[in-house]
Amino acid sequence: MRVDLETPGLNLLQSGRGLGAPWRLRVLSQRPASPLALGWLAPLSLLATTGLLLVSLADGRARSGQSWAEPLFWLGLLAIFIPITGRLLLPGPARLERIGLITALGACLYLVKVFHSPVGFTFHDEFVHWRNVQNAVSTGHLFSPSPLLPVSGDFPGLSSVTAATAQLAGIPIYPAGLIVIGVARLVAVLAIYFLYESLGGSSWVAGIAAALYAANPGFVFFDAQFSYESLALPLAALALFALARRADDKGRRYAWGAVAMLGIVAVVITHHLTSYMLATFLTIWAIASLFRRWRSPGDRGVLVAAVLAWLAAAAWLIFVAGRTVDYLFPQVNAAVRQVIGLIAGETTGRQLFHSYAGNVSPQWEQIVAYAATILILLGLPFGLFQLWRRYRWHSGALALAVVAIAYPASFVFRLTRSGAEAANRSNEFLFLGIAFVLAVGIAELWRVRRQEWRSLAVALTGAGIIFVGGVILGFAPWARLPGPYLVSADTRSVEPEGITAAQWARSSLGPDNRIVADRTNALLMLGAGGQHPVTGYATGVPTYRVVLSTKLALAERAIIRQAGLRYVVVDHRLAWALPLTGVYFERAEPDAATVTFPLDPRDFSKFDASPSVSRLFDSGDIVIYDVGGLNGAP
Amino acid sequence: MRPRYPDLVLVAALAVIGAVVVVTSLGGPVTRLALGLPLALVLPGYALTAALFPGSTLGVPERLTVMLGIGLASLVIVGLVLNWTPWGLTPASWAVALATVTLPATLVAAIRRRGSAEQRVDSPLGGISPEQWSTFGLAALALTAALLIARSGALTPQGDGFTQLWMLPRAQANANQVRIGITSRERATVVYRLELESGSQVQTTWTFKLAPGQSWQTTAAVSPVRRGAQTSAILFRLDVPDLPYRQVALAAPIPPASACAGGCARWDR
Repeated sequence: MRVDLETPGLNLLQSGRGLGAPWRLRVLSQRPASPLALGWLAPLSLLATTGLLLVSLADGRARSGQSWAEPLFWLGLLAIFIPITGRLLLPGPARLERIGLITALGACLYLVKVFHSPVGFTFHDEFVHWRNVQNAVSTGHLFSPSPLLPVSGDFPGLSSVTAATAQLAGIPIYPAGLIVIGVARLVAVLAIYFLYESLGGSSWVAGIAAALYAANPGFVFFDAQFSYESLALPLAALALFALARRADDKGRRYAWGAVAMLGIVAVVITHHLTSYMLATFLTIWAIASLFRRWRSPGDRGVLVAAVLAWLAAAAWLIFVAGRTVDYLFPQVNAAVRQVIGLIAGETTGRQLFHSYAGNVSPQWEQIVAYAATILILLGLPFGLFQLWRRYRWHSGALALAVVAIAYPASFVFRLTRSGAEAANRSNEFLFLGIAFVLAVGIAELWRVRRQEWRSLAVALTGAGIIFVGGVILGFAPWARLPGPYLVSADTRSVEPEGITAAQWARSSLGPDNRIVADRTNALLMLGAGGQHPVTGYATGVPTYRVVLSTKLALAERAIIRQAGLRYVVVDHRLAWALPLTGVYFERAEPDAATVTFPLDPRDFSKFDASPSVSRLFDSGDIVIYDVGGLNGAP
Repeated sequence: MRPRYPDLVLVAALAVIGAVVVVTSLGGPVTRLALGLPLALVLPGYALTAALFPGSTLGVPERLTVMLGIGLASLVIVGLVLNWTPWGLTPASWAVALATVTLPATLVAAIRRRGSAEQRVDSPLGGISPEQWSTFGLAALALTAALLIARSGALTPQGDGFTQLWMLPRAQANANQVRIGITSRERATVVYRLELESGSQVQTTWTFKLAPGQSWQTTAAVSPVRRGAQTSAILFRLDVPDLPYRQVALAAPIPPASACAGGCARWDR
């Protein structure tokens, strides 16, 4: 197939939008598609939902410990990603087909996470936000401090939207949360597509870039969970899309400006990191405009948006969410210090692909993850070169290029313990630039090589490797599929015994009792049990010592009094193995992330030996003690 | 007579009806869901989008994106405003607030539409062939099957079962009573024996059978124990009769009745 200038399927002018793209491609051997033609959307949607069927079968087999779960899971994921991306890589499809395909891709990949835990929340952050919404619904007010993650209460956007959905529709919080994040996912994929389309002036480049964005490590699981970032990212994408479109749509500049402002304000109220990233990106965009001497009429709007984003974020930080500094700064500080230590040779880096419990990722996963990273690193220079050739006139495209350049820098952080999490969290922002740059490169390669099937095979293999590598890097092997209980493994530790213990606590002990529990049971007691877990992180009192110490001595009794503890939850399964998340309770505990021996089960018997402690509940693995007698409680 | 802007009329009507249903709690859960969900996630966004972009120059996909996006954003902001009102976030306050956003926005949209040139929008649904419809239908079937498989898999009990045993002091005036409960989440029916001990003396014994999911509860009087001694409940499975299966104990002393003349500390919470 020969590729040349202008085709209705690619060119936005044909769809009545008139963006004035600098380069337009045409597939001369192919009959121009109507902009409204749906082409292969229906069969590819069927393939994608068949992939979902395979994923749900894989989940079922994994739950019951049957074999072939992992191959089925990967086959299902590839059945969703590969056919749709393959079609998007072709220059021929019409714009509406591309939009439909990218919507199907985003929705199906969201459902992969939903099928992972289809009857209740199981991801770590979900419990925190579940409780925040419960508080909003029960008290009628936002900003209730969250016992486990106090900063989350200061960003009530998700609580507000979910409470509205649950209260108006008369449904529980779990389905309301699924619907909210599902709608947000739709907004995200469409807004990102339109952003790329506005900046790239081509539905072809936009489709490829949006598909590549779905290959970012956070897309399948992390940004599909019920968490404030999962709502903030789509709102940020909406603001960026509106600003990009504002530059081209002379007649409706104020309308697009209003959409962007609404989006920015909502992001600031919803999530700290996303609001700072959005403000930073807008600043880069404004600076890029400055270098271009404000040639585009939309450039000044970007500057105004950047100023507004910084002002709003700063005002929220100063007047509402002051503790964000205490939350983010130590993490950034630790990451930077570890990187400096690593460079200076004072510390050793973390072992890649090794879990805290010593598990090593399968070799094929390591190879694919490295291959994905290498492919991105190899593709970036070429894509950046093409972007400079084709798009340097567009400040938004230049800003995306700057974001992509930051990707290699994030590798240094990946080598350190604290930095790895920061690097992981940055993926969804960095991929905004990476996906666009790679898409520009792929489109240019296609244009030059003019050998359709060979080009398709190469590009699709590359995209597939980046996608699979993203899933591997984004979520630990033991967490991708449901399955039997694992020690301190977040989603894999959430099972009926813990859930029903928490439900018993809510119904029999009443809500908001101050308790100490391990990482998993603290989450369950918070979300399902309505209790108030007390952690050293939130209070400064090392409550974990009450359980971890060998005896209930004066120091432990002092902690119980100081923290005002009433109940202690002991999960005997903690002694089975090392914690997969690196901690049994929280990061401040001794040997956190470096623990080499499981807990000694004899340490738990100290509560039974104390005459002042009541053993109220026993379900075999989980025992709940009343330590009110040590605390002067009635 | 056909209204000039049927979509805006429909949105305004749905907002009013939805608000009335939510505020007055009329209708069942299905009515509430059918009217409440759009009031939360669709109607304000649709009305605001129509007000900002009058006429039909915005493509359907862009309109959908903006509608859902500013719908979510407006919920964030309306929630914040409601939080600072005396009513707070209640179903009624949400319904009234969102109807208050939607109705003026539809009015503005209608006014602005009158001044804007009418443009025809090609419906993307018009170009779908019967074959494509049937393929979409198959995709929907596959999706439904996947959802059902995922849900039933998650609801099927896995692994070993367990039994919960609990004991709490009775939260009533009579402090010499305890409440004991057992819930079986075993995989099969189990015959249990429960022994209630005061001090180290067995006071009462119960034998009973529980099917999976069944519960058993009782309130029992217990003898006072000396300070430092415990009131215990020990559960046995009759298939392993000598090994305590679950055990709970109350440490707080139950004072002798005679000692309560001057007032006793109770276990009540």
